[in-house]
Amino acid sequence: MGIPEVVFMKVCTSTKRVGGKTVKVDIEVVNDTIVKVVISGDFFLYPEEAIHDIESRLTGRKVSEVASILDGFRGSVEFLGASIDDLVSAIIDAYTSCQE
Amino acid sequence: MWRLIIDEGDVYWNMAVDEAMLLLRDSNIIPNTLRLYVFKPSAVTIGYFQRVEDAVNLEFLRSNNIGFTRRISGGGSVYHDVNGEVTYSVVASIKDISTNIMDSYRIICSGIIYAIKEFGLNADFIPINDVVINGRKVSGSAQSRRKNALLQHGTLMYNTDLITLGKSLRAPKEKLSVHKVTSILERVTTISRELGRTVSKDEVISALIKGFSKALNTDFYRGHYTREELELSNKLIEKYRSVEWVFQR
Repeated sequence: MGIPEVVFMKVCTSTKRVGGKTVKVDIEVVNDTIVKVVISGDFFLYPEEAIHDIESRLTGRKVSEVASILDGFRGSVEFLGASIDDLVSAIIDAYTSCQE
Repeated sequence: MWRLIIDEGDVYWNMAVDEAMLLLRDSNIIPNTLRLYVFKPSAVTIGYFQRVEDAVNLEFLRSNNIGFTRRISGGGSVYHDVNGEVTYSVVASIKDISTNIMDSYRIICSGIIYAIKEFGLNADFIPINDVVINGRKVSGSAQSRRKNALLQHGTLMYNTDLITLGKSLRAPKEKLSVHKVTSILERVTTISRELGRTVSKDEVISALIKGFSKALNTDFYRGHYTREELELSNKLIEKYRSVEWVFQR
């Protein structure tokens, strides 16, 4: 039997208040990789189902890739009460709080 | 001329009908429709992107048998008081309102402002989706879109029990701090409270019909649900009752 690999998993949250709306990000990070992300709040996103696509494309990726992944959604989704930049910043904040 | 439907039902029925109408309008099977309805019994709806535990006080809802479900539209949580709130749904072809989402919120919310004017009160639209009287929220709306059609549903509080509203909903601390108040109660109001007299549901419905007639530049004929709407609503209602839908995030 080999030595079990040590896995450091952290669940971190960041909440941003933007233009009267709230964007909350809950992420689970294992060895610097996002293994789960849930984006929630009282913002508007069109089409709504795109949130699932955004979350799944972030899963399994490094935080350094978040901005470029979300850039890929510009033009195909429309946020009201939040922006793609707000979302990038909320994810990075949540990730950063995991490192503290 | 648009169809007008006046209805009441539980939270699952109301959300199922709204979605059914959006899908059927998108397929051009039903006409542009204004639906005015009441949640009977009182209930809570939460926005599509909200986490249940962040949006509502679950313990209070369960101990007071207040039902709740998730909407297909974004935005925040809403307490729908059977004795104090009328909900509207505008279901229309996008080209008949505006392709621009923010413009369509403004156009449809002007119907609420005109309705409030019927009571001699002035109200303002606060983008994205609020209508306020003297700075206090009296109406909130949320819009969902498909390729050809939009659904915008929203509230008009005329005599809502604000204490129960405050106990039912959770407002994030950040939200309260931005509004510089410590309680939901200080941010919301009702038409009755602003007027200093108790307003009836029938008065509100009549004002809403006049308000939306002006905002949408149309007359209404009183109509009924089609067979397709009833069949689709009865299928969709199971989704709105399901744990998988309500607790999906």
